Amino acid sequence: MNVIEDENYKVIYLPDEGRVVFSGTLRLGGMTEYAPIVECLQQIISEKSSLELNLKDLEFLNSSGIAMLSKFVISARNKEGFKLDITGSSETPWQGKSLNNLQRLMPSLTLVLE
Amino acid sequence: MLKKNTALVKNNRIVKQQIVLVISGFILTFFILGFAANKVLINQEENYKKLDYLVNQSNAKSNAMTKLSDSIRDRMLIIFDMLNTDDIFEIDDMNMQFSTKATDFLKAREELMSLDLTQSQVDELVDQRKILKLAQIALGKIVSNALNDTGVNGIELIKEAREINAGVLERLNKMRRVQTELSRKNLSSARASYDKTRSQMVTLGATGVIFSLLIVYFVIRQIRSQGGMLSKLMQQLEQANITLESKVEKRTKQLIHTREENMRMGAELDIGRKIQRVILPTNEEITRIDGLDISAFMEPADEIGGDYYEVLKHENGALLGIGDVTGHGLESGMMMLMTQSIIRAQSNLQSKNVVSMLKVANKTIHDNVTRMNCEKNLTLMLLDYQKLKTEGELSDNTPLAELTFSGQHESLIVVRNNGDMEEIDTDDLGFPVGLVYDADDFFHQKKIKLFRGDAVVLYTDGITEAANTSDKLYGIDNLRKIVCENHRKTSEAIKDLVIENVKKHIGSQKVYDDLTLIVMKQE
Repeated sequence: MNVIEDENYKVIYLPDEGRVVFSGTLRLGGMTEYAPIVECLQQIISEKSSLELNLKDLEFLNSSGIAMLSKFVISARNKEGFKLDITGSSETPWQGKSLNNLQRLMPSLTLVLE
Repeated sequence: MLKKNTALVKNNRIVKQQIVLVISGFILTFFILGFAANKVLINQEENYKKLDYLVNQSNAKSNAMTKLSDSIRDRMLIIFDMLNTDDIFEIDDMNMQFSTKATDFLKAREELMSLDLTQSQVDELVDQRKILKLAQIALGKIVSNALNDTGVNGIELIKEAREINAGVLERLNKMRRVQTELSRKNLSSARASYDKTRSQMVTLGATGVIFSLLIVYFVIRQIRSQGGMLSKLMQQLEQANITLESKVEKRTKQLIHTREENMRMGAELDIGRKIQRVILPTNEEITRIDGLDISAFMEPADEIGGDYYEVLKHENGALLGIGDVTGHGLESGMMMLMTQSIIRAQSNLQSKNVVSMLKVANKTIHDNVTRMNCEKNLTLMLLDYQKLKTEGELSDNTPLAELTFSGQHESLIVVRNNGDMEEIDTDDLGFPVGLVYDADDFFHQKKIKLFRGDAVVLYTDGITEAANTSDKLYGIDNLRKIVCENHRKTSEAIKDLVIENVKKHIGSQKVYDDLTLIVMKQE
């Protein structure tokens, strides 16, 4: 189990369940600060064939974070046969439009808004 | 600083302790020496008294013993004289003297007995009494014979008495010797007592001196440790001064840096606001568009938000745009300026295809933000307003213009002349501009016809997400309601009413985001 966190957010990778769980408020400054999360996600793409991103409890994600997720989805799309599931919450304002945009980047992505 | 103060307080406390220690030490020494002197004086006085008593006793005993010896010797002489005379009167007189001497002897004996005698002396005197009684009997016989002038056996009796008396004298002498020996012993005891007193005095004096030395030792040790502490304190102070100096220097640098940073940020804000303002279309540009009544409002937030709107007149209408750059600050302002330039440049190339314009804008901005490493993107919607050619009689059902729009942004509010309202979602019409390079497939367009009196409202999320003091958002419903209620009014009136309503909602709350609103009315 890998955990990346500070006092505002937590990103937990559960390899056995093939799941990454995001929670809290992510307002990191630019791609350099998102690098540890990006590295973790890229490694999963190269090593695994599927992943579930659980964003239900991620209350806020800034534009750099959305850009980071978009680039990750593009990488996932570019790996043939990679299965990506994203679970979000329709009650969290940032997620509606942004998660739909992610699905548009990767039509095979399964998006569940709870 | 706190550490130094503690050390100073500790030092002061030690100084006070030392003063108390020295004073109490001297008081104690004074008491010890006083006690010693007092003790010596008392002992000496006792010794003197004892000695005086012993000397007096000894003298009295000697006197009494001398008297005893003398009386015995005198009586012996009287008897001897009595034997050598025949004169009866002389003998009688001598007998008187003999009796007197006997009285003297008894007095002397009495005197001796009253003195402080040892048990052996008392025993001796009791013992002597028996012998003396025998002598007395012998002497009495002699005297009686002498008086009766018998003279028989006088010589033998004298001999006998003399021997007895000689024995008594000898015993008295012995007693005197014993007394002398006793006196000597008493003297030696007095001397021993004196020696004891002297040694006591020396011991006590030495104790006092040792005690004083101990106090001096402790005070010196304290002073030394104090010296060490003071030197440590000085070092600390010195260190603190150095630290303080470096802190002051660091803080000064920080302050200068902060001031510079504030000035820089202030300048950034000024520049950003200026960029945003100067590049916006002028009122004159907006009002010149034939057939379209447009009013626009834009108010930047305290931090620059990067809202963008555009109205570019062309030969058959106008190209309109509205967008919102993510985040705040100078970079958002720069993004807005870039977007405006890209759109205007394409507009000048006579291209009116909003989809292709957005694709170009997306790629260009993506490349620029990658170069800038700023990770920003924007929602952007472009609308091409084209007047339609009309012939003959115009009715309310005659479309006067066509609006072609593309790009992902807030939904479009259209209120028809009859009050019907349409809300057109734009999510499927585009993609965040600049987010991914290859987004061509995501840009699509929609067209709507505009009739006389139709109102179209464009806005940024600064309007719908304007929060009040209870953090309640203004919301799309409020916006739709106020537009619906006032759609017959001029674009300016509608715009003013919406802004007034939004500001009323915000109240004293901080304005978090730029507020942008465009109201178009088909004339």
